[in-house]
Amino acid sequence: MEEIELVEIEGLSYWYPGQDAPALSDVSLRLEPGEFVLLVGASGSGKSTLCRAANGLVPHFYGGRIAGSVKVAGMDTSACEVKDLARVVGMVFQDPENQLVSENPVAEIAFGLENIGLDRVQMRKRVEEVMASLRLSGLRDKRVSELSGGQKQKVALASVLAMHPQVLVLDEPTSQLDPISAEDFLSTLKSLNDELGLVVMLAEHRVERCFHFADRVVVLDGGRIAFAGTPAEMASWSSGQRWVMLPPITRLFLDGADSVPPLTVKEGRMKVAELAAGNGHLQDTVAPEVGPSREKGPGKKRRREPAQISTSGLWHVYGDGTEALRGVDLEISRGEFVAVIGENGSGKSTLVKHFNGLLKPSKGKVMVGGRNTRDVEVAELARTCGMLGQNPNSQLIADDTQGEMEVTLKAMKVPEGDWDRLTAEALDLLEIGPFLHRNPEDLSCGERERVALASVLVYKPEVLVLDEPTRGVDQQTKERLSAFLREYNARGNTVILVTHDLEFAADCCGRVLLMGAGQVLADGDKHTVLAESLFFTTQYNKCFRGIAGGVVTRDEALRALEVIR
Amino acid sequence: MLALALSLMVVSLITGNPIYQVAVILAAAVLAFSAGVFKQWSSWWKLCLVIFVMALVINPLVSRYGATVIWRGPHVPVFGHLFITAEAVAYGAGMGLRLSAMIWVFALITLTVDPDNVLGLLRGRGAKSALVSALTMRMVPTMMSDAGDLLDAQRSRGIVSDNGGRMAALKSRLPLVKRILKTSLDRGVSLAEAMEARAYGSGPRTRYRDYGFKAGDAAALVAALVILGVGIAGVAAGFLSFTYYPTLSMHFEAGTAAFFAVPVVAAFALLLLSEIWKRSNWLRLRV
Repeated sequence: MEEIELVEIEGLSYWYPGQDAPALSDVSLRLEPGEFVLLVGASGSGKSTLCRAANGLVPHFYGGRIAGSVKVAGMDTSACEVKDLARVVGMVFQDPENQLVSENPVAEIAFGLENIGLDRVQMRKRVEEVMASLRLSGLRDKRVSELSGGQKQKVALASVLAMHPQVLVLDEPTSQLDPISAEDFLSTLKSLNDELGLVVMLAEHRVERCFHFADRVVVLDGGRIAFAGTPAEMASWSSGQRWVMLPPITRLFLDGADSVPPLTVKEGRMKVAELAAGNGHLQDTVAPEVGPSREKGPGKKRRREPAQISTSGLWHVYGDGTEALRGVDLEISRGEFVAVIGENGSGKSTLVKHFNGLLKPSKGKVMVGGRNTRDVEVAELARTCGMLGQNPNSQLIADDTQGEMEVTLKAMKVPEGDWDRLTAEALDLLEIGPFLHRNPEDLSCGERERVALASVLVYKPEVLVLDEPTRGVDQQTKERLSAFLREYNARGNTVILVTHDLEFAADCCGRVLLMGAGQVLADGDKHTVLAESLFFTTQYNKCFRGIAGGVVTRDEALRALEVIR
Repeated sequence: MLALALSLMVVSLITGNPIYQVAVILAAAVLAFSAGVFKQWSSWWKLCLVIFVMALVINPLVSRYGATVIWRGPHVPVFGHLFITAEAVAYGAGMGLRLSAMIWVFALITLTVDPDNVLGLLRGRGAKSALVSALTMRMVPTMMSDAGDLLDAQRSRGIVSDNGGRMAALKSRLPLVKRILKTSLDRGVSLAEAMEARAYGSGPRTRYRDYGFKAGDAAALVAALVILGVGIAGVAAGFLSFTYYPTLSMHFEAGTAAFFAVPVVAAFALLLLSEIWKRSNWLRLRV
């Protein structure tokens, strides 16, 4: 008897209601038993749609037109309902906030079981089993609203697992998480795949954390499958492509004309060691151009003019008693590019919210542009210090991009005569001209991020503060953003960046501020701070450590690679 | 806890006696302590104080009852001759105390009662509306944080201003309402999708939790009934009567003190029981 495939997609094309262009066109994909499939592609390439096609949400929930067929465990998805498919295919979504229905983790995990009408004895067994296996037992009596993002997403995973699905589909499950929770989540997935033989289909843009353990990588481009094969094959395939969804390390060696690039930091390190040993180069001879840039930093000449932003003895205590900042002394001069890094809850966001007066110090003093923030209101400080929060959706309130910029200009009391010039400049810098009259809601995530940035940049604040601009953003968008920020900085403006993305930080910043437990742990040139950290450093540095210690950025790594080769 | 708090509330409503109100507040404090939420509970004092002072100030000004005039004011149109009586002040204070007692008890309910449990009591009828209410409770913190983010972002852009009067502040926030509604709607749709993906609507649902009666619930219910019963009895028997007008008078005899003590004693008894419960395995294994 022929074996029934779990998921079998044949020539699938799909159009969302009211759309002429298909979101998926002629996609064929077959998931083998026990397989771990990684789905990559730029935003808008059809990853989410393909995920939803596997459990019938497309087309049942969304409507629209469909061609071709999707069979799940022998059932045609167009002929049966989502709730019946749910027992075979479990799905975890992007934002944990949008998929949890209950205030209690136990009730949450039981929700799906209640829906399929399981009796209480069986339910109890499954709930406890799943909680134990995902190490969630400690959260039993917590409220969902008290949990961290990573814990919420694990509860969401548990609630799906409890239904004993055969296939697990995940649509960018880590895009809202910090890197440490993300890594934890992805390794949990890996062990589920290893030990239980669950078929996993994972759409993910943070490829460096899961690339190496995928059995197969499927690249989507404009709704079509551009490539499908093993990670190593994918790496070789992408050498000639204009954009690449690869871990930074793999990409580095690929650009260094390596035909069999390493997939992980470990492999990269071994390769570097091998090359270095073969060539007999010494540590000092590598990365020669790193030297001079080190001395630039906050040079002596700049020291003389008063700092643009300074804090002294800054403490911040929240209403619930959390000491978010505990004595921060800091000076930032005009024209610096500073990255603020550190784990979750280390006080990064709290610190930068003091720079435009959103938060006032509980103790100590914050001076911005020579004014004490305590005496000046936010709207006034905002003229010097523009700030962009984590979520572009909170930023955008107007009906189109132009309106968005004009709202800001009006609030900033910029004379109306200058509006056209300023808007044109912002459009030009961020390359968003085509979206001038479009509603930000209709744009993709990366495009929206740029419009949100434009709504701040348009009045040219001397200080620009960005809180995690790269969360949930694909590689291509990240590179453009980095270029925009460096350009803005080169025009003499100060840029302060709060981020978890160390490769991104190293790429564009000059100075790095490492925070922990409400204090500044390290502060200085990026080479000093990052190269001296064991954990808070880039993959490039981890790879070249011991051979070329000063390597932090991609360009430096490329140069180092040339030297040792 | 719910039954207990409700009984305290009813008792506080039916008696006008200020000393009894103090007893009710005390009982609520003890219960808050035993539930481990004393700190949050006591943080409601500001609201209580405001209400108390308002009642204290407003009543004497508008009330024309009472025999002991302590201040004679000028003639004001509409209000007529202003005068303040000691009884009216006392009545205002009594009212304030009563309102405060209600607020304290309400605070206790808010802090201790899990909405899921209340909805669990409604099982059988209206499972759907129970689910909707549970979802609402679940989404409230999310929406609050969404709104906080939005407000921060717009303050950073100078669109929402901190000063310039209430009307200006309100006006500058109006455009945000649309955005909040939109965000909530988006979340709602995503949630619906996620629920469907977890087989919601597959036919009759079962329930994971058993909202059965436990020993602790029985003790609480007994205490609640005692408080309620004694309160009603006290009012009926006139033990708890307290009249403000025309002159202050209170019925007082030996039994009255006992009535006052009932809510406090009941609350303490529960506290004691719960402490014993926590420490004694013997009791736990037998009940």
